[in-house]
Amino acid sequence: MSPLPLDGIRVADFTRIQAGPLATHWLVILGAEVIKIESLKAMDLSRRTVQGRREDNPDPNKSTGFMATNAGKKSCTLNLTTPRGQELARELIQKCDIVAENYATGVMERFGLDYQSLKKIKPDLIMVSTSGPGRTGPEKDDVAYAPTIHANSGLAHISGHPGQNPISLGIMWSDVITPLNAACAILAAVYHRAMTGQGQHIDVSMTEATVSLTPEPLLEYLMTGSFSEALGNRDYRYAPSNIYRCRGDDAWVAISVSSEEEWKALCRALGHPAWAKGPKFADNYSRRQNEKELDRHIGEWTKTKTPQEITRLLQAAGVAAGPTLAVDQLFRDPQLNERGFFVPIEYEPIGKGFMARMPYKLGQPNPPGQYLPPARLGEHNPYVFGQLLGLSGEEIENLVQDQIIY
Amino acid sequence: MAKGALSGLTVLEYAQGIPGPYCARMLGSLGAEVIKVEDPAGGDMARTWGPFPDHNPHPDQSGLFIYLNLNKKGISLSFKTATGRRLFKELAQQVDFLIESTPPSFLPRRGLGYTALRKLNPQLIMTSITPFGQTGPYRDWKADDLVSTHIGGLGYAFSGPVTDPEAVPPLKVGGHQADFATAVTATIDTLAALNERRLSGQGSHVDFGAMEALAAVRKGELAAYSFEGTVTSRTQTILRRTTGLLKCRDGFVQMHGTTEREWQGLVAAMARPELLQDERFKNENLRSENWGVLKPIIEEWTAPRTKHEAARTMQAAHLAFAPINTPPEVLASEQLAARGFFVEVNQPGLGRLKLPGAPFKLSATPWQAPLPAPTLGQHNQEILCGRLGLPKGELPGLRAAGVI
Repeated sequence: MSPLPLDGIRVADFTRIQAGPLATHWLVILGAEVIKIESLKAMDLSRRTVQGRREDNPDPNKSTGFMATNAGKKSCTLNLTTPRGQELARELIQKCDIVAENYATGVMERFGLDYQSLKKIKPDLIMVSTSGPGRTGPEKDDVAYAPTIHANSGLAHISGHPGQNPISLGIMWSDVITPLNAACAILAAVYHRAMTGQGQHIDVSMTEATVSLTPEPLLEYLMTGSFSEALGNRDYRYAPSNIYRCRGDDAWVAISVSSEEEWKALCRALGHPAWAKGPKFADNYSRRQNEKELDRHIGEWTKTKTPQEITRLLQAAGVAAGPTLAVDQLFRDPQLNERGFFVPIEYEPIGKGFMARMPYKLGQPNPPGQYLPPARLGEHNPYVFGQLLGLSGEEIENLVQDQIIY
Repeated sequence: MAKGALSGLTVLEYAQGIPGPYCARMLGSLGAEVIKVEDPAGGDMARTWGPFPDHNPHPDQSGLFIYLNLNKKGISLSFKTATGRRLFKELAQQVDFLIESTPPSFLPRRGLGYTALRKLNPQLIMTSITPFGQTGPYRDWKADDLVSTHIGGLGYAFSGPVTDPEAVPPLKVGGHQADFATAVTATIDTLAALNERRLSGQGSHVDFGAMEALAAVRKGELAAYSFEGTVTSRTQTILRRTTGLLKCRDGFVQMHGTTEREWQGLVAAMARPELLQDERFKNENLRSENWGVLKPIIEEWTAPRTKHEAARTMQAAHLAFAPINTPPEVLASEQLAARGFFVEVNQPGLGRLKLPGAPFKLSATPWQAPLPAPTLGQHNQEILCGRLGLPKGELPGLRAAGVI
């Protein structure tokens, strides 16, 4: 069996909120040993959301949301507001390769755990700091969550239904794409360190990660002097490209035609209707100009069929189409199941079930050990403080008494 | 500028559109040398997509194409010709990565599948980026950004909670986020395979499907469904936090979050202490449930202010407020300017073009400065003669035969 990409890499994971734990989730899947440093005072925020509700005094071990991004990570508890807690954190970091954190700017400095301090005790350390604005600049102290990043990055301006007010996106998208970028940066840094022995600091700004994947409106403004509003499901590149109402409860199908060949295929699949003939829809430019009328015609056709019928029909004809899938439909989807996307997991506080496998080498067997249950808060204190840091049982007991291991 | 983390590595790209090219572009900006192979008949379809200067289409002036293909060398090779396929094979023998986005049967049918290429280059990391992966019942299906968004399970969620699903369709987020997220996730896999090669000495095939990358976004909801049987329809979606857009004098401001600390700060900033006594807003869950009542109360404060005033005042009180920025406002951001985020490329035929820069700042191995995107076949001589040792005199013949 081939090694996992990050075999032998140990991560001290101080991240607590969304974008942070999602990045280190990738590191677990790729074979790293990831140790979360939490405390009763500052636990991973997702531990507080149980069955969809935010709890003030939750059982920290019952959140499925926590499980989904923290499976396989170890957990130790350390009160970082105390000097002894900080000292133990530094000792742990010396035994790690990577530090990840997404505290507000300045917090790691207060703990004496910022990159400048840590590289003195661990010169080849790779440290990744994720924040909304980034660690420098006049707005470095701004409070940010994904929705405010959607706003200031320009993504919100182009998201929503055409002709209506912008909407607050129902997915924390910047929390999705920022950790993807952070994971790329970490993997590049790990490779560089293996080649040269050199560590480094990675400063990830959610705004910058989001703008880097949303270049279209900026380019449009810079190249034409004007800018568009939200297009909804449509696309400035080609038409038809939209979603259409189908038979069934809140059932919709997405159809996209990106070439003349596909347009001909769509007309064929529709049985060459009279409306499709003539100059109105003769080329992509005309179809974009007459898009509303075009969408109305296609919608007349789709509304008597299910999304699945339409998808099969159009895909067989060579046209991109697919249903809008809900979570339970994803769970039953034949493609995802055939590819081994769901892995069984057993976690005693909540039971048995399945979770989504991260898309690394899907279609191949799942290497054992990747999808272990998440850790209970502080479950690995004996391992971290005893085995890794060499403290005696009595010393650990005293640290618990003193609320340092807390 | 210091070298990138991947300096010394070479990428061969045979891809078009967004996911494959942006993946290779990331590797290029991380320091690898990238050779982009296009079909001589028109090349990458992104050349036909805008935005174009003043809306005038030109195959070398598509803004999106340029952004996706910075820091690459471009050659043209026809896979319809035996010579074209042979030259591609020779290149594949010399490189560390092949990033390709052809349909699953396309390369194997031409003797260029992973099994064939591995024999020539056991170190090769080949990343195949397709909508659905190399196996399974959907493997030959097509999808673009829109179809991937919806079949990947994001469409219902993006639209947020709605009262009347007939009036509000599921939604694709703006731009081409599904395609870009696919590209970045494929880059993770490619860099993971590089680290795997560092340990095993062997290359490998990364079989990457966009649907899986996007469905994985919903892993929290998938786990909740599997363990708890929870399905949230669009009309029942529980708003877990108080989040929303608030009207201002000149647009909207986005606010997010009302933990106890934030709630007290918000009430103080608005000078509305009586709200702390209001039973409807006693705790975070109640504030969520009564968001419909709470929002207009906060808008009484935001409405007379500009979105920037509202955001700066609330940020001074450590509250998450941000203006809904238009494109010119994003470009004028002081924060992004102070961090040197935007960069400029001198694109032949177009002049200097401002562009988004590094998605992350690596202190020792910086994201490389942008080099112009290639015109179709621009580096044929440099790559085919320089790298493969083809005599210069053969190029006109290859051109005439439609090979390049």
